[in-house]
Amino acid sequence: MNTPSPAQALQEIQRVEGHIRAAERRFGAICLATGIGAPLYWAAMLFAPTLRTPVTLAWMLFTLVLCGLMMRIGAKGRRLTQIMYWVAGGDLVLFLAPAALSFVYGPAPLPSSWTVPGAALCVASGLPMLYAAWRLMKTR
Amino acid sequence: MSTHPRHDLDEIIHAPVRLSIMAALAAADRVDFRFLKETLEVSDSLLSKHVLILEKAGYVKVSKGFVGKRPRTSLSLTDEGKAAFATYTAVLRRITGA
Repeated sequence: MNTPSPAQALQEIQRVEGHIRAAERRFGAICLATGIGAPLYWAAMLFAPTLRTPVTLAWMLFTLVLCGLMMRIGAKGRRLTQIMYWVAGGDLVLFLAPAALSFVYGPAPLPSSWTVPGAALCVASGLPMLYAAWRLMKTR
Repeated sequence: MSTHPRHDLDEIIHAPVRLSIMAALAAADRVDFRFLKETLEVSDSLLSKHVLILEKAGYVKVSKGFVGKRPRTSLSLTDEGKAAFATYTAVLRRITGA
């Protein structure tokens, strides 16, 4: 193989950077799926207790598939490193908040006074992942 | 004495496969061997050969681990590698006027 010219070298650098950005966008798509799925999961857990078992099984399968896809990506881009700890921390808190509510009320449906705060917690549970998706999938 | 900036190009980096490896690792914090192989469209042996050269130069750190039962080799740039690549791209831009 010949030594590349400086212009070819710069082109190759851009080409490879494009592959890394594509890998980041794939990671972003997984975050988007999680950010959409989490509120739906908690809404079912808090407001439709009869669906808890099938929804829990579906959620476990969903997360397993997403974990498998995540491990296949093969590159951890800079933007992911920048936001990873904040997103993981936020996700831990906001994902577990509806879990605490679910734990307190057990299998019973939420009392009506908890409908709005419960719905807000469901929506909030997806926000960290939606933020990560936005950061990873935007062009620049 | 020659002052043309092309003489400042790092010869360890300025070779087709090594340049691509360095570019990938500069854009990412960690890249799997398999990902690099597919992105660069090279064989395992050719990629290993060039990774070894970069590793010996102190530019690349190779980490071996397992995901489940499967072995996984990950690569990242060392601080020296990051500095060398930044200098290399700066020289390229000086030459091309980009």
